[in-house]
Amino acid sequence: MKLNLREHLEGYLFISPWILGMVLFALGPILASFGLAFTRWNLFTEPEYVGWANFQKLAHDPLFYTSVFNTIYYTVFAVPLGLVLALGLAMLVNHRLRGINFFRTAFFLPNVVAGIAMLLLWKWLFDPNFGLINLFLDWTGLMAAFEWIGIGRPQWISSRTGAMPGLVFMSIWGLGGSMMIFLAGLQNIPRELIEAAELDGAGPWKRFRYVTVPLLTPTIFFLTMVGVIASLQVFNQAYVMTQGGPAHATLFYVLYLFQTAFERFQMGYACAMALVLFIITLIVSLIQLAMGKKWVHYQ
Amino acid sequence: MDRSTLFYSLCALGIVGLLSVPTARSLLLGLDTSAQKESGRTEIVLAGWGNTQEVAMLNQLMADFEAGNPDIKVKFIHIQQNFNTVLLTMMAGGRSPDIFYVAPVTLGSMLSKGVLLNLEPYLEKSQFVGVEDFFPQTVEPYRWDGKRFGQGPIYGLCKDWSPDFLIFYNKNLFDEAGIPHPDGSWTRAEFVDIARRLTKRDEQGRIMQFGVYNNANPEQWIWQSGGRIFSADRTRVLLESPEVIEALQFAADLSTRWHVAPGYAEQAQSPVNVMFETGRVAMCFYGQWFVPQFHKNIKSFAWGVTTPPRHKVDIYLSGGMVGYGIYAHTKHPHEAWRFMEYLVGPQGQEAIAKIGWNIPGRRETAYSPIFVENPNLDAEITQTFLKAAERTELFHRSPYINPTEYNLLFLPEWELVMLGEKSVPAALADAARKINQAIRDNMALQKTEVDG
Repeated sequence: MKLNLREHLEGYLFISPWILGMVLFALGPILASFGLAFTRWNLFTEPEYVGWANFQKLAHDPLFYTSVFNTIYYTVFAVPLGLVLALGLAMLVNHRLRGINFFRTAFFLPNVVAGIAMLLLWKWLFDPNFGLINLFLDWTGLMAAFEWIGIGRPQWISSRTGAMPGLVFMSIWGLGGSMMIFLAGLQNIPRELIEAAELDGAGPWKRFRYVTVPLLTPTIFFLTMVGVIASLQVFNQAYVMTQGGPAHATLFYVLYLFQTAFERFQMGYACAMALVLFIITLIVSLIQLAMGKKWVHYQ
Repeated sequence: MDRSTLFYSLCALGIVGLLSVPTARSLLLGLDTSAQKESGRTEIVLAGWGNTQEVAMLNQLMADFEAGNPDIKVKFIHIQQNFNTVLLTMMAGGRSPDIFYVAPVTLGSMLSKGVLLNLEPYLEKSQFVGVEDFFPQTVEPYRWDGKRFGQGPIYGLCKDWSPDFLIFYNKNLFDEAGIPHPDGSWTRAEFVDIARRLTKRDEQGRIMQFGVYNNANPEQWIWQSGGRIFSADRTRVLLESPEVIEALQFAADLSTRWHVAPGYAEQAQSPVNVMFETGRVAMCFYGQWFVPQFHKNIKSFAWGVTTPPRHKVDIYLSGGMVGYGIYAHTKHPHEAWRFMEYLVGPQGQEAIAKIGWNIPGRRETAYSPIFVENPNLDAEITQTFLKAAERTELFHRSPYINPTEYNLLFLPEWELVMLGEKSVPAALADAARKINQAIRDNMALQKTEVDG
């Protein structure tokens, strides 16, 4: 299908609010930050060109590696966990039942109340002695399982080992958005395909594995891309709840970047970090796009 | 709509969009904080923080000042969070307020950036204000000769201050445990013993009531041990000195050895003041600025204030002093000074004394009936604070490292101590190495700035 000029122009007209916003308010700072990555600048004096010095410093900065490790750790666990649970929830609320809209709303609700107040509430939930999470584990006897595998009483965000699993666990809270997108994907699957598979004798698992999942691959692909990019930029949780602690256990890349820029006022160094993150994100996305061609089926 | 119309309207839209940049910018950034001549009146902008009571007080002061100075219009910008970062960003963007709050803890980083006006020439000519009016301890931290604090020109004047780490204690919890109310003559060992008797556990062994919440700044313990965090010329930290190690070992032991103060995990529960107000901690450390709030919030028990346990040096510390400074590059230094003179003069200081939020920097106002007999305060507690104030020193940081950067380097090491994963001397040695490296880097950068 070939678009004519008019259709092209109309397309651009429709996305023009975004383009204008991007060009006017984001493009300038983005380009400036690329340039500033090669300077030493503390906001108050003229930026001084230092060549690749910031990148050399980054290569020898132990906290850079800590923050990259933490961010990858979070991404590797939070994104797949979120996808699997969101798909499960979407399939649950895909049933035509009386009152199903109540459940759809309920599962989506956390996305609406997301914010700083919610993060502070989670801080209380994670309290090792009096937090609801550990009290629930006590009450259900699940705490014994933790003690049996040698973890002991989880200290969650109050310990170096528990902080990251805690934040990954907390990420489940916000999967209502992915659930809604999966739900839309599920409802786009033609019923006759499922029925045909059923007539051919496919059980529920085979229908899910060979009909639903292949037809959902564009949705899964989209959510993976968006989820990975968002995870690489995770910030709020650590900034509000842990300040990167205890002892750098939750120092995410963007939090470290923020501290470098706005608490240590090393703007050039922070811009270099931003440029590195941009390149990492670009590479990861290109790999995903290339791999996506192999497993994503468009109808 | 044909093709060419669409094309031209797109172009028009783009041009309008580009033209609107400056408009959009001024609209978005809103407040144009650079002083402006407005119908013959000079606008002076003051930036600070404070609760509703303090803001109301400032509004009243501003109205009174404008009435007596019809050629000046004053405006207040309220920055409650990240004051220093916001202020420095405003300065970098060329939109600095003319007057702003300056605390000794952030003074160093302000001085190193050359953003503070030398007040000496203005003070010399002033008929209302002289440095001798203030508690001398509050003046010294604002003096800086380029190498040392306490000497040289003056860059700020005190608004209000207080010994910030006196002990607030819950009298009812002391009575229940059969412990006499403290009179400040206790030693550290006696203090720990009392804190232990005030710590209560439930049947599962969880601590339900702590003896003390150690929210005192480490400086309080360090100065009492005879140590200092920074060398006199502020070019390195002395975290590895025996005095600092002794002091911080004591602070850590309260949580990790004697378990009379919340440890790392327990500190996440609630803010200190809430734990004290709900009787979950028997003692905590605050300055005068918490007295009005506790008077208002605490109805279920009686409480008092005493001095921290005695150690080698009889001294109290203040970290929360706030003063005013003037932006070095303001377009209207004389008008800014006239307003600042009013704020630190008798009228401005009496307003501070009236709300009782903190001790006024002017000695005469602090000892005036307005403060000493303030109906919102407890006269006995006010006396405790004033008496301690005479033995109180201000601690301040280094021009070569801002407090936020210091904390970014210090706290991760301290967290390991509080988690019981690192010894105090080892953590302090590593913290000292990182902080000293940062100071060297910052000094090198500042030097190239001066040379360049």
